[in-house]
Amino acid sequence: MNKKKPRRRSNLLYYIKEGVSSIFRYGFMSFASVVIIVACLLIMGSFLLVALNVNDLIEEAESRNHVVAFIDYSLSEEDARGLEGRILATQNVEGATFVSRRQIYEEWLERHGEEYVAGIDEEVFRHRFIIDLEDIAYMRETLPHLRHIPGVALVDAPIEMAEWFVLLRNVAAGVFVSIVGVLLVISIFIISNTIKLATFDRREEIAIMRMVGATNWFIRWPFIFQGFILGLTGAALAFGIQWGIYGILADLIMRVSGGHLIQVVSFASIADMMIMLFLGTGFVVGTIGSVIAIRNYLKV
Amino acid sequence: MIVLQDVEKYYDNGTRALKGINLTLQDGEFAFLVGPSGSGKSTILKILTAEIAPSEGRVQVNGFLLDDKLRSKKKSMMRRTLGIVFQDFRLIEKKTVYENVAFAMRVTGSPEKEIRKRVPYVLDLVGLNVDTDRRPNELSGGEQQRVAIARALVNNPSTIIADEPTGNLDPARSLETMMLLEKINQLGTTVLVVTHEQDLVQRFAKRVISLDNGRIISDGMKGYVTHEQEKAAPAE
Repeated sequence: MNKKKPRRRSNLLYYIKEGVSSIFRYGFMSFASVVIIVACLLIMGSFLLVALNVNDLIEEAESRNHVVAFIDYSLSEEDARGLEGRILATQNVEGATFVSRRQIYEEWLERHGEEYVAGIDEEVFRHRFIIDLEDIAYMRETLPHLRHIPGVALVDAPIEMAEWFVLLRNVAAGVFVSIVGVLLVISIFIISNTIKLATFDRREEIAIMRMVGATNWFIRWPFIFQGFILGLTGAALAFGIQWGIYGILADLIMRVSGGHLIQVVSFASIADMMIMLFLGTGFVVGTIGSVIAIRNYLKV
Repeated sequence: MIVLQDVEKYYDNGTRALKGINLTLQDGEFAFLVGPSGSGKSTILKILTAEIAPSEGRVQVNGFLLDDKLRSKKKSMMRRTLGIVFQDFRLIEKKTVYENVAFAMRVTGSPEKEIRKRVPYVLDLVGLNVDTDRRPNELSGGEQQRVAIARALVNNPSTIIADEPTGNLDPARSLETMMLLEKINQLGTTVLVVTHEQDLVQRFAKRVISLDNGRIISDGMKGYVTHEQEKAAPAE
C-alpha cells in the first residue's frame, strides 16, 4: 500500500488553499497584478498579431519576388528545358518553372493585342526559368551560381526589394522581441512585489514554519500557487479581450479595404497558439515572480 | 543527544561569541543553560537550531552533524527532532489555538486524520482547558505559553529547547510552565531551558550549565553560578 498518496493530496490542498486565501487577503494588490498582467499580455499579443500580419504580407510579397534566368538564344527549347536539373541543384533554389519563348509571345499577344505585337518576332524572346528561392535573404549570394550555369545568358532579380523585405522582417522581429522582453520583466517585477507583500506579512509564520521543520519547498508552494493563479487569471482575461478587440479591428480593416488591399490573418486560425502563449507566459511570469519574492525568506 | 566539542563562534564584526565550548546533553536529560546577556546563550541556541553554523568545532544534534555543509533538507529533518519554545510564544495571531498546533504537524506533512487525533491529546497533556477555536490574543500569557509548548511537543520531538520560556510570565505562571517542562522531561523528552532567572533555577534540582563571556564557567547540579562566584570559590 502506498502511504505517501494521502499526504501529497493533503499537502496539495493545503498549498492551493493557502495560495487562494492569500490572493483574497491582498485583494487590491492581486487585482493590480492581474490588471498589469492583462495589460502586458495585451500589448505583447497586439505586437504579436501585428508581427504575424506583417509577416504574412511580407511572405505574400516575397512569393512574388522571383528570380528569372534567361536562356541563351542559341539553345533550342529542348536544350533549354535540359538546364532545369542544374538550376534545381543550385543551393537555395526551391523550384524552377520553365517558360518557353512561345508562351511569352502568346502572353504578350493576349495582354497587348495583335496590333501592338505586330511585326515582333517570337524569336526576340528568350526561353526562361522562373525560379523560387528557399530564402530571399541569400538572393545576392545565389545569383552568381545561376549566372555561371552554361546556357544561362542573363539573370534578373529584384535584389533591392528582397533586401528591403528581409530588413523589414528583421526589424519587426527585433522590435517585437525587445518589447516583449521589457513587458515580461515588468510583469515579473509587479507580480513579485505582490507576493513579496504577502511573504513580508507572513514572515513570522515562515520563520515558525522553518523552526518546526518545514522544507523550503513546503514554504514555497503556496506562494508559487498564488503567483501562477494570478498569472493564469491574467492570461485568460487577456486572451478573451484580445480576441474581442482583434475581431473588431480585423472587421474594420476588411470593410475599409474591401478585402482587396490587405488580407488580415483570422484570429481563429491562430487562437490555439495565442492561448498557449498567453497561458505559458502567465504561468512563467507568475511562477518566476513568486520564486523571486520568497527567495530572501528561505535563507535561514 | 546533543554534543558540542571545542565549539568556537566568530561573527563577521570580529566578536568571539563562543570560546571552546564542550558540552554533552544525554537523551532524557533536563538542563538549564544560564548566563547574563552577551554570555553566548543565544549563539548556542542558534547553533543548536541550525540558524548559524559554528566557526570551529563539532556540533551534533540528535544524530545530525551541524556544520556549514548541512543542506536545507537535512536542516528541516533535524529541526523536526526539536521542539522550540520562545519567550514571546511566537503564535500566529490569525490562526486559532487548534490551528497553531495543527500547523506544526501540517508542515511536516502529517495526514489530517493523525492531526485531528494528536492535537487534542497534546493540548490536554499541557493542561490547556480553553476553547481551541479562540485566537492567541484572547488567551492569558500562561495559556499562550502552553499553546506554544503544545506546538513544540506535537511532532513528538526528542528534544525541547525552551528560550526564556518564563520571561513574559508572572511568578506563578512561570513555576507552572517549568513544572510542565519537568513533566514533559519525565515522559522521556530531553529538555534544555535557557534562562537568566536564578530563583526559578534554584527551585529545581537539575543540571545547570553556566555561561559567561562565551565560556562555560560551571556545569553541574550546584545551581546558578555567576562569574564572580566562580572566581571567589576555593580551588578544588
